[in-house]
Amino acid sequence: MAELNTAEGGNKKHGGKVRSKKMSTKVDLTPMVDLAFLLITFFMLTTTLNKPNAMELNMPKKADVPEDKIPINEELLLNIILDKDNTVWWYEGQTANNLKKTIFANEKGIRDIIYWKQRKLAKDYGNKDTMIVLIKATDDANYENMVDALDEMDITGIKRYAMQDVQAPELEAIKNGGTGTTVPE
Amino acid sequence: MPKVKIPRKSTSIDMTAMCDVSFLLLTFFMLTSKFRPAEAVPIDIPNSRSQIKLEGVMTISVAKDGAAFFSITKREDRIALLDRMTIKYPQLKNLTNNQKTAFVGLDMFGFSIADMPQILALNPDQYKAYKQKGIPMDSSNCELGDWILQTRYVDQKMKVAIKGDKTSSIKAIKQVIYALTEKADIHKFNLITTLSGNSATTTTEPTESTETK
Repeated sequence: MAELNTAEGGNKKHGGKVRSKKMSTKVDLTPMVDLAFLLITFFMLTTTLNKPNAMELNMPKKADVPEDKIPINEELLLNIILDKDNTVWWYEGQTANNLKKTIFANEKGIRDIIYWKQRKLAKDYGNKDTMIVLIKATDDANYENMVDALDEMDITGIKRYAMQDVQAPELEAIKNGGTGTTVPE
Repeated sequence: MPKVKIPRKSTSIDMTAMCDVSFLLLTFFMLTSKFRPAEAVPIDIPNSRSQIKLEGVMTISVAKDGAAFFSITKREDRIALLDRMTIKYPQLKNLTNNQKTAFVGLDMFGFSIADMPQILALNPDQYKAYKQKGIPMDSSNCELGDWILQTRYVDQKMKVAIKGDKTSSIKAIKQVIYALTEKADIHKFNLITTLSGNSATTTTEPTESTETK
């Protein structure tokens, strides 16, 4: 049916009149279909890959009215401060007197600290989702650090977190070098 | 009883119909797909696990040096936006039609209102060579906030995305966030990231912390 007939010199030996052989007009379209589907796949893949991924970020509205300010339990707080050269400082509660230094890493880094705090809250309060993380960044940090920190929230499943400005006592504590680098077990 | 003879059929099928369909699909995909607009500055975006897809957004890009650029995808919106900005900044009334078309043709821009007439008068080659300084976004002169706010008036549902370079300083990002929250009263926005290569290792991470009591 769909086959390309190739001319075979069958008539030649009769000599004289050269009769042009009737050729089938049908061409095998299989390679063409192959090519078309290949191109389709290419276009489909490239168009969907081109759409950027995005993460959502909600910023709190400024609470001007005192009633909007809800007091929270200090023990639920974990503060993460992003600093230059991809370093991360962290402390619990509201006062930065036990500031510790760490890094972004899958193990022995900020992620293990978040897991540790979650375990602790699960034990003390029966629910790890009570945890609140405050992410702060000094002016020396870069944008990648911020995205990494927010990504860390997604990975560890933190439900309540916020971006905040870094406070003066924290900057002071960073200048003093913190109180160590141990990751609690 | 006579034997039923099964006629021998050729195994080759007519490919014409399939070829038609596949080329139809091919043309469809080629025509519907859009080219990525040329970027005024190269931006190396950070990685994350997030996989939310965005469409029809206004994008605020932050370059390595902290300069902010603004872009919206729809051309009709750009015309409306320029009209709204003219109300806010009367000096834009002096723009010629040519300058207006030049503005609508820009996919991404990063210049102040004061520089605008002069930059829009450049021809494409000169424009390419011109290094844009970024839209002013200090708290005293926050033109970026006005661009965002006026775009929101043009299309209230348009989402906002921040596209920052990995190495850009947090200071610039904070200024953009300031413009969004304080000037335009937008508290929900997106950060554009690429899917990280080590996502497979991070998704298998959750250990004992996933158990809830």
